Amino acid sequence: MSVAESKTQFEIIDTNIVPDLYVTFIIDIWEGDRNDPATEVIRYIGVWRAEDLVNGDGEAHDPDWSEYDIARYSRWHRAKAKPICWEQLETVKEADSGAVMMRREYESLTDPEAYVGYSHNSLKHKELYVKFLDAIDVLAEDPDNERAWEDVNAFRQFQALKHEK
Amino acid sequence: MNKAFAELNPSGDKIEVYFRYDPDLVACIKEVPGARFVNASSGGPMWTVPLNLDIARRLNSELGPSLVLGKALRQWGKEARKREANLHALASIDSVEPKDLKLHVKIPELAEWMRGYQRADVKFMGTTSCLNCNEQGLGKTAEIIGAIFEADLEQGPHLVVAPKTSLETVWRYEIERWTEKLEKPHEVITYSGEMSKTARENAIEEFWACIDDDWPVWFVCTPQTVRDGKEPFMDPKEFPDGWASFTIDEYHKTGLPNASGKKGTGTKFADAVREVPARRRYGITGTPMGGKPIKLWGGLHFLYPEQFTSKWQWAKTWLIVNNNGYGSTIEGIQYGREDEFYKALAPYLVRRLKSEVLPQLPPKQYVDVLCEMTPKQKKQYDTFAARAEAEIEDKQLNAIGILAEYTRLKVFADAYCDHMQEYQVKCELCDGSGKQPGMGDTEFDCAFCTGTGKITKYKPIPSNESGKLPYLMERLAEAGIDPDDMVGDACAIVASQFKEVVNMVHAYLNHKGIPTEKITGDTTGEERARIQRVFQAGGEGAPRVVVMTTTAGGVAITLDRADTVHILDETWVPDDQEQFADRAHRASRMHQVTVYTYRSAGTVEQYIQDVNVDKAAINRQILDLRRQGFRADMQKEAAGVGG
Repeated sequence: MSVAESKTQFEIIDTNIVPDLYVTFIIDIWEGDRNDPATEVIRYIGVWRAEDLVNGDGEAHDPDWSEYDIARYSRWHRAKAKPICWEQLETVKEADSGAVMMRREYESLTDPEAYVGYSHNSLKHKELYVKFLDAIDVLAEDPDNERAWEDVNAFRQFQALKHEK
Repeated sequence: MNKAFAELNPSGDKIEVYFRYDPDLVACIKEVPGARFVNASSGGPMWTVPLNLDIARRLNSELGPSLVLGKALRQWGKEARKREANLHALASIDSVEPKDLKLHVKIPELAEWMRGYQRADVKFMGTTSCLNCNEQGLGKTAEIIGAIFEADLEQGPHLVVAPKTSLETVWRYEIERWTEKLEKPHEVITYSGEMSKTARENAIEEFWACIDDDWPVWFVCTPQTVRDGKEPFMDPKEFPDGWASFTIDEYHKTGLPNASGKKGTGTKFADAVREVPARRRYGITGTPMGGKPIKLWGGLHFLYPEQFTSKWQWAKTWLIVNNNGYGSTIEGIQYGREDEFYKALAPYLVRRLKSEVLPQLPPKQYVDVLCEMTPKQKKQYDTFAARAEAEIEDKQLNAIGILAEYTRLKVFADAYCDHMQEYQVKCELCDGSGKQPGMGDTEFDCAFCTGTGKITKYKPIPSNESGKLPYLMERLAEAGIDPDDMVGDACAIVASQFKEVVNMVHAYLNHKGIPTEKITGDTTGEERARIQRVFQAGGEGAPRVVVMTTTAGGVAITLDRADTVHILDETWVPDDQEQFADRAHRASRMHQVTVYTYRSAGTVEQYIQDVNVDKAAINRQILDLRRQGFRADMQKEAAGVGG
């Protein structure tokens, strides 16, 4: 499994309707793969006025979850139907801090576009790390591949020198 | 699944694991105890796990087919497995000939004097730091001395931490006995807080003189000396060459079993011993677990602190860890992993039972004696039992509080208490300050002690109106210690957990005309030595009975003239009773020993018996049965290879 693309995911846990007045949703929200140790799942309660969730034909519908913006403090700022109440209930699944850090660092070191600094060391680190990861795949198939061992040693020596005390 | 790469870190004390970010691999590595993520600014992104064979095996089983091993890790693994196999082979040997030991060239009389199993232990212990957990009375002290010579460490210096009662009578005696004929007889310096300031200063001066002269020296001290850590030779900076060997005798009685890998979170003693620089470490105890396998960890951490770094990590690897919502508790071995657990322990442990190595020594016979309390005693017991129950209920006492209540009750199960002795302790709430805690600088008196800083408590003092005494007198008479007919030379030892009960029984037996001595925590080393000497010598006027507190009498004393052992009340730890009975049941005298345990009917003592039976079963299941299985497997393996 590779890193899941960061896409906001929803799962409705419960719905409660008070006809003509309010619609309440209990909903889990997360980004990417729910089973990823780096993923945090948070449970919210949202209450909408019933009239805000009715279209022009008088048919009731769910809120448009795609309008939810996880990146903004005001999560429903661009929504047509804004909840009158939106509260976090609990963290259903805690993200593992090591996994979170690893995912972040892995992404920045392997993404050619990602900024890791312009120093020679930073760029070299990125270049050697990518070669090192490729070398691991090669060694899994061909344990005597000298070239791959060179790439492994180059990265580890670079790290050792950098962190030598 | 992506591939992972594992290699030793540059300083050779951890395994580094690298892989592309993969939720499945992250989940797998999180299952390896002690796994930590290291970020890019500290050399990552990577994960590290502690370097030891158990962890390496776990890593392999978690990541399995995804794992690519670095060359240094592969080499380390090969050597570690070879070393483990070598230690497994040594651990399964039951007897070694004297000529097969280096010790035989250095101290031939010691090598010849030892029994075959002791020489096998010396061979094993000469190879590695380990815990010697042989049963009491199998000659562990001589094995330590032998192992140090076998390991070519005899030039010293050696540090021994032992109960104060054994500094002179056991350690000085044994070391001088075996080294006096050497070209350089070893110097033994004993040191304890009981000595005068001048004597202590002289001891230290003498120690440094030996170091300066390159003279083999043994510094034998109490746990307190190491715990305080004030002496410069406890500090690696002040004493860079360190000790050649460091032995902790009766380590289960020190703070070691409650050690923690993190400074300041375990006991002070365990923190202090970790800092002591030593090339070889030995822990000695006949009762390493006390029914709780986690207690083994402290000993292992003492041997190899860099390998056994985390108590919880070790617990999660082998034991059942339960979270009850308020915190985690550590229970027994994970189901079905008992054999594996013993195999993992084998390279660090020597363990033999008397029944295995001395089949000619008859096993102890255990007799339970159920006693009826006297009517007055029963009435008093029932009153205090009801009071204890109310106390536990009302104050919602924690486990320690409940245990204290039960322990207090045991005195009433022993005898009718005719008065209460008043004594004072520091107030637990205000820690003796007398001021109400949490009230800032205001002058409110502590509500608990009303400003005195002290709490008055009462200690029940037992009279000789005890339901147990007639039963004890009857058993003593059966064994040939009859005040109406004091012929013969039968002897016995008697134990109680309580000093007050010991005092009462001592006075009672002497009053009845049975010459009796007593040993409690208040008895000085010289007095203990005198009692041991006159009891063991026997003859006219010699004591026929020694009454002791279970803990004070449980170590560093041989009373094998006794044929019967009488335990008037059990502690909560079955090992305490075993240790006490082993004062009489030793390799030094082949005789039948009968252990009588007295319990008052319908009291807390019957509950303690049930608890102790469970604990003893755990000890036996984990250490002894598994070890016998392990030995049989290793011997079969060796026979197979040989064939």
